Amino acid sequence: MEAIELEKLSIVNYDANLCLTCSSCVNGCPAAGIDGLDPRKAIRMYVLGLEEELVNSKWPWVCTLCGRCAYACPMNIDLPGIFKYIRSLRPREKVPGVLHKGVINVLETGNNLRIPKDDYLMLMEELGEELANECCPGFRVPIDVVGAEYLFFPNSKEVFGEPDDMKWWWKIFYAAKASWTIPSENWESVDWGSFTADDEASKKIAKFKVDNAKKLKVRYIIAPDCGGSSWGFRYNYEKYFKDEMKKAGIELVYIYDVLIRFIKEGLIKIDKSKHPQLTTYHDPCKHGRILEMNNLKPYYEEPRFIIKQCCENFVEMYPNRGNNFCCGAGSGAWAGPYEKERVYYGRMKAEQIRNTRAKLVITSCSNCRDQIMKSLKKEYNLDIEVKYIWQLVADSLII
Amino acid sequence: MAFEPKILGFLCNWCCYAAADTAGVSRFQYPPNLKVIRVMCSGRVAPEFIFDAFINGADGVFIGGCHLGDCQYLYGNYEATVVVKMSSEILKQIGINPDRLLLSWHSATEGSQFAQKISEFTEKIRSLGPLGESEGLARDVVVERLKAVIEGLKGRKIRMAFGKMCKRIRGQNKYSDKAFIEEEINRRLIVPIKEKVFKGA
Amino acid sequence: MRTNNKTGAIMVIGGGIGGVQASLDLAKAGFRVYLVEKEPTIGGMMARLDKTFPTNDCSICILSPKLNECERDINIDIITMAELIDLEGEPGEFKATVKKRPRYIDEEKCNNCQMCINYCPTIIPDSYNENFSTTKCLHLVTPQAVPAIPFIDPNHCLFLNERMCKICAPVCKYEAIDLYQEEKEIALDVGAIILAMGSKCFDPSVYKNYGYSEFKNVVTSMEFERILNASGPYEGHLLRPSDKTEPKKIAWLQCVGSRDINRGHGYCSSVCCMYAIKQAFIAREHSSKPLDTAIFFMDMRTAGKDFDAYFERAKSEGIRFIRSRIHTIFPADESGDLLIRYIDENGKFKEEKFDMIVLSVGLEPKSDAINLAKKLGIKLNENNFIENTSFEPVKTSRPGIYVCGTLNGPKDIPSTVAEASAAACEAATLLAPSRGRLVRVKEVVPEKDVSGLPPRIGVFICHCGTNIAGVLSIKELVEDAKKLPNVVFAMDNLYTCSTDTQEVIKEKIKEYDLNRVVVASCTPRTHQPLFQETLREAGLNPYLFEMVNIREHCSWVHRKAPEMATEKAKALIRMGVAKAGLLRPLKPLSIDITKAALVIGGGVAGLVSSLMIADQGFKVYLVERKDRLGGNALRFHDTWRGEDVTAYVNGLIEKVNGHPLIEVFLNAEVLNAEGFVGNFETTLMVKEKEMKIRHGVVIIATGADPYKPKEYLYGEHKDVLISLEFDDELSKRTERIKNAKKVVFIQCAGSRTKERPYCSKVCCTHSIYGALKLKEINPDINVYILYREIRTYGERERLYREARKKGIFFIRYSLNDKPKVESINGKLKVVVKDHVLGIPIEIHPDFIVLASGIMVKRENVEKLAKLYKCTLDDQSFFREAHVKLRPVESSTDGIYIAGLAHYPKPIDETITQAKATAMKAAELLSKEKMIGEAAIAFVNKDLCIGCGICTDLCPFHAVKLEREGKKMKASVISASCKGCGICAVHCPTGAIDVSYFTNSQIKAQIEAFGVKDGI
Repeated sequence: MEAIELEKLSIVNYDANLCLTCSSCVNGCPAAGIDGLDPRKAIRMYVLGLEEELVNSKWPWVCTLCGRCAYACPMNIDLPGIFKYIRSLRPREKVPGVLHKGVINVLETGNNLRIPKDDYLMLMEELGEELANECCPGFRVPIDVVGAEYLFFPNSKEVFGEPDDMKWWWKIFYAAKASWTIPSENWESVDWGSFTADDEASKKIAKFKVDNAKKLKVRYIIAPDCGGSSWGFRYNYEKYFKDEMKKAGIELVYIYDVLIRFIKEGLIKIDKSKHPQLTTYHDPCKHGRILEMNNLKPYYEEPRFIIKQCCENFVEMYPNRGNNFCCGAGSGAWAGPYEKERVYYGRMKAEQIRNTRAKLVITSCSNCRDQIMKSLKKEYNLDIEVKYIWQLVADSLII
Repeated sequence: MAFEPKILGFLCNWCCYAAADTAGVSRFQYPPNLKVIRVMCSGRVAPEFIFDAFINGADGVFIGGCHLGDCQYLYGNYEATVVVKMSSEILKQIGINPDRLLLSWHSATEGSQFAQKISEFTEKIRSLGPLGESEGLARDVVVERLKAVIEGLKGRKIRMAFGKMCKRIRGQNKYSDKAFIEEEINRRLIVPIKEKVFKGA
Repeated sequence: MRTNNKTGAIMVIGGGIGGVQASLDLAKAGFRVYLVEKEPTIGGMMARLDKTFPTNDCSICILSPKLNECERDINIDIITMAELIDLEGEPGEFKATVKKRPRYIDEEKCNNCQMCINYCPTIIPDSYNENFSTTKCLHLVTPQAVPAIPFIDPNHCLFLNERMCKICAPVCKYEAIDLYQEEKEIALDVGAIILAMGSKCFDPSVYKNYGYSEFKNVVTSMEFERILNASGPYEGHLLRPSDKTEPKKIAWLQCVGSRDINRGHGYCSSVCCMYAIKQAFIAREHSSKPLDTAIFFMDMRTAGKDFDAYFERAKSEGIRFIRSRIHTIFPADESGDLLIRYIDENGKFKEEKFDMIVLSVGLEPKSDAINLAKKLGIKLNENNFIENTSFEPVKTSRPGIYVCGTLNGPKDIPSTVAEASAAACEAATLLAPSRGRLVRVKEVVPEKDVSGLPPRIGVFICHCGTNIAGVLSIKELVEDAKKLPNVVFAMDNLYTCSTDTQEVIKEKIKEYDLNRVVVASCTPRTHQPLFQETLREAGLNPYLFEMVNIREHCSWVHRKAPEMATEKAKALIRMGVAKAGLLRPLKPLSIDITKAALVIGGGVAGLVSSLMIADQGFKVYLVERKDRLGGNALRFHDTWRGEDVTAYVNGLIEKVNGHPLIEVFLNAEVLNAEGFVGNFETTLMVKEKEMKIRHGVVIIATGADPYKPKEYLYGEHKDVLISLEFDDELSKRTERIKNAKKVVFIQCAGSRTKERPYCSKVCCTHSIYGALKLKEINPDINVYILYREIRTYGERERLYREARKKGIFFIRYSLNDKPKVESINGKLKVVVKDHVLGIPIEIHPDFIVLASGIMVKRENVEKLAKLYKCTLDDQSFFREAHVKLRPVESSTDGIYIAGLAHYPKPIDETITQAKATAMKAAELLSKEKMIGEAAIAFVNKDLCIGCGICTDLCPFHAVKLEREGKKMKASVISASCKGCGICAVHCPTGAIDVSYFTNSQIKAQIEAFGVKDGI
């Protein structure tokens, strides 16, 4: 092999040179080995100035920035930060798959899929009627309700192709007699800017949400369920918008906060017996570990509390909470083009699930849910049913 | 009952006894046939102790000291080499297999080597059988000869010769000169002792 | 002149090995000591260890005699269950208040009969055994506990909590149980304080991914020590906690809590690499089947003396070393087995199952120590260890308060012991004018005259817990012993060495009018002095004692043949008893001491040692071969913490030169030496003139030299330097230094090789410090450090982290793929393979610095070693008397070793050792008389023919011929005789013999051997 000559070390940001090359990261990473790379090698390449090779490789895009490496890194190196930085160096036109297109769409139209406003409003009206007929008499989707308590953002994926999936939340809001609304414009919950490491876009997408909240004078803004997007929003919120939101009296809440409030205040009634089967929970990285690593409160206990209200038999995966394995679909990997790698990545998740012997897997991030339900279940022959945590609540409701 | 050899060991306090301690601490296993007398130095072992041990039922005698150069008393283990050389020669002369006498060096840390050496020596003696057996000598003949040796070694003339020989070896620093030592031993010690032992024959 | 009001007493806080050593040193040097211990028993962490590295000595076995010595010393008051709560006054005149928690047992009345323990109904987890086993609420902490007094755990006692039970009180016939005992405060006047509170093991529960709280078979290293220990929860059987089966595969995970700024501590805990290797060794020995042992690590930090050899031996014996830090421990299935997934050094992904995993947890300061330090106004460093400097390694920020051991930074036992002696030295120096003022003199028990009396022998046979009793039939041994000639009494004891058994022995001596005692237990090499002291206290001459080793030489080595082993033990006891019958009382010689020290070597070690001895009021002769003082320290400039070495050394030289009690000889060499501890006479050659010096002790501080490498173009290319040359250029800021753009450091240049199989300990830190200096001079410079293992042990890890933070680049190479250095048209080229990417890296440095290590030239020390009868190791370093517990003493009495002559070490450790040697010297020099060896040669003048063979053969010239009337007769110079017995072997008439190993005693042993028995 040809020797590389060290003329000058790269400007080593992120204290990457602190790396003791101990291999904790490799040993904890389900993507290690893909493309002949692993987190330690990637860091070493970055430190050695082999940045270009790294930028051109697909590895940083197969990595889901789940942070399991950094969680154990004895030198506290921000590996996801570095890999995100590497993603940001990829020329935009060479960003894998549809992600960058989505970013352009959202900036131009307010949603990732260029769904026209009229279509969106019409769909909402129809869906509302449907739900009213099914089980929620008098229900309609509240749009742009000024002064509503909760501001909820739909996911364009659902609006576009899986509209029924929205009904679970609506059912809960209905049952709880909640005051809530969705915006008519810039309504996209998902932040693909955080996936493509486009900080500017990500900030703008966050601003859409902030502006909507201010305009509608809501009390709470519900962070997207999608892990990466919730983190993208939270990151920008903490960095840029915290003060103005505070001034406006608006608070950022997670889906768990909403559900727990409804349960604890008795706003909704739940029938546990509807879910007698052995049930487990998959912690989305960005609702737990990533928050914890950024010295923010992780949502570990809240989902467990909620599930235990709805299920009779709960079992933990091992490992769990901060140490949980990523599903393999995070940070854009679900929407991205590397399917084979994503499935390989998910083997650890599949094994974890299988080991629990659970029949029902609950999670609370759309990517995690899709990966487990639509991919891993089939690829790894898992005999399971997968539900969103709010789906579980909706299915357990006594209306 | 199967033959279990009896072995008496004289171990110097500083190295070999300590090596045996180390073997213990490290749990290196070896056969229990060895009994130990602690002496401060392998140079403390007088030739008559060796013969006395055989008379008292030992089938083998083991002497353990510090490695040459490491003696706490500088010359003690060198002196032991002379004593053992001489005693082996005498054993040979009275028809006893000199393999029944072993001198070995073990530092305080060499517990496993000690255990191994004792295991090997025990097996060696086991293969030789009870004292006299492999030599084809009756027990009472062996004892008689050994007693005669001890008598001989008590003689002032022989003892003077022994002492002076050691002085010469020390004085000329001939410890590593095998030929010199053999010559000294044979000329000054073996002949008179043989006379004592076989005077009746 | 102000009169001296200093209090001749010192408070030592913490009764681990550090506190115990400091207490013993000070008590021996004429001070009163209050040893304050928080727990009910002294011994600290060392007492709980199974074995110690690198000799695999049994930890409690070597510690126990010291604990007992502490308890016996009438100048040491052990105050258990106590803490310092208040301190007023000035150094030299402190007023201390100690709070003593109730033990609920009167320490004066209790005789440890343990009847109360039998009756206590409350079973509690035994925290001494890491809760793997249970004990009673009223219990003795350990069988070897010192003081041997049980205590009541107030958290569990039914009476103390619920006013129920109280069953123990009436059971005690000594009325020692006092359930109403209250906390009390004790006021003490002390001149100085030594903090020796140690540290605790890191709690690994924060490493959730290691499942320590979930998986039973994931244990900490301390728990594993207890598992291995014979008095541990499984009685020394290697079992795993989940199902008590014998594991076949064990893994160790290193750096749990150490070198981890994320979830643990940033520093390196210094001891874990070695203890993991030790545990692997011991576990393999304990295992009945071949045991697979794997150690997962980052860098093996085996930097101490003989440590690398231990590491190499471990590798060659099949202990696996895997350079990979484990992320997660998985349960393999429901069996309790564990699974780990890792990448190995060759980049292969692996998955392995283990039966058991040991977390090598680090050390961290205890909260009570931190609180006390804060209360006393003592500065702590970033890691909450005591802040100190390299030049004052055992001083705290508050005058009069000193520190030693792991409270002063993570370290191993020998370093702790050296620090303890050094801290004692500081206290003794401060209080030197008050030495002897508060000492209590031991009551001399009048010795019973046994001459002419028929022997009455008592035999005491030890179970040593299960160490002996687990293999031998103790009952048979006792029965057999009772039948032996002259034996009037025989009994067995659970632990014959325990304090309460000493009382039993004394009672039995009285009761049965014993005049000889035989103890059959462990090795006399460690325990004989203890029993001899018991005899002395019972009014018997200590030489009326014989010890029989039925543990090391029997139960431990013949486990597979218990019956034959029992027969052997019988024979050994029979032989001991035979000898005992012929024992005679011996009187040791009492000799005046020459109150002066000879210090050989004028480097930092010699200078510090000289000053500390002289400051305690003793004359010092300091001998230096060269024409100036200062030694190697003159050649380097900063410590790793940036302290100015040059200024420090010059300060030392100035103080030494101006000290009225120090006489310096430059250009001087030792020509000859005679004499012995207390009275040496050394002939010096000073500037071609011979002179004789009389002195009582010797400090060898002859230092070492840098190794001149043959590798990497050193000596061939002008731009290849060794560290000291680089230091010199660095301090002068030469053009080369200022203009350099790229610099390569190559570590282990000539170290850790076949020729020099040891680690020079200082080079990693030294190179990193130099690299950082280069960065400071020119932030744009690129510095590459090529290393095999970075050994910035202890708090030095901070420097390593800083270097990485500043962009210094580290590449690891292996011994079989060393960096290639070439000169191409005069320009240097280095090629090394990157250890992560596996690709070659080419560097064109302006210059190369070789970390070339430290060595001793044999010819420099061989003669000295011979003259003073010290031994050298294979690498020509002076050997210490005991690796763990006597780190600065040579095996010859009165000769002490400090600094590089002992082993490569940084300046702070050299200074610590130097101060420790000064303490050892002062212990001796502060005495009026020295008591010599009693077991020496003696002459029966009637038989002596004056032939002179003994005179000529005595290695120590300890026998002289004297005229008596017309005849010449041999006479023994008692102080010179060392009792080897060579004279006795060669005497033509049997006139000269050696006490305690007489011809007749040995003959008796041989005859006892001959008595018919089962073997």
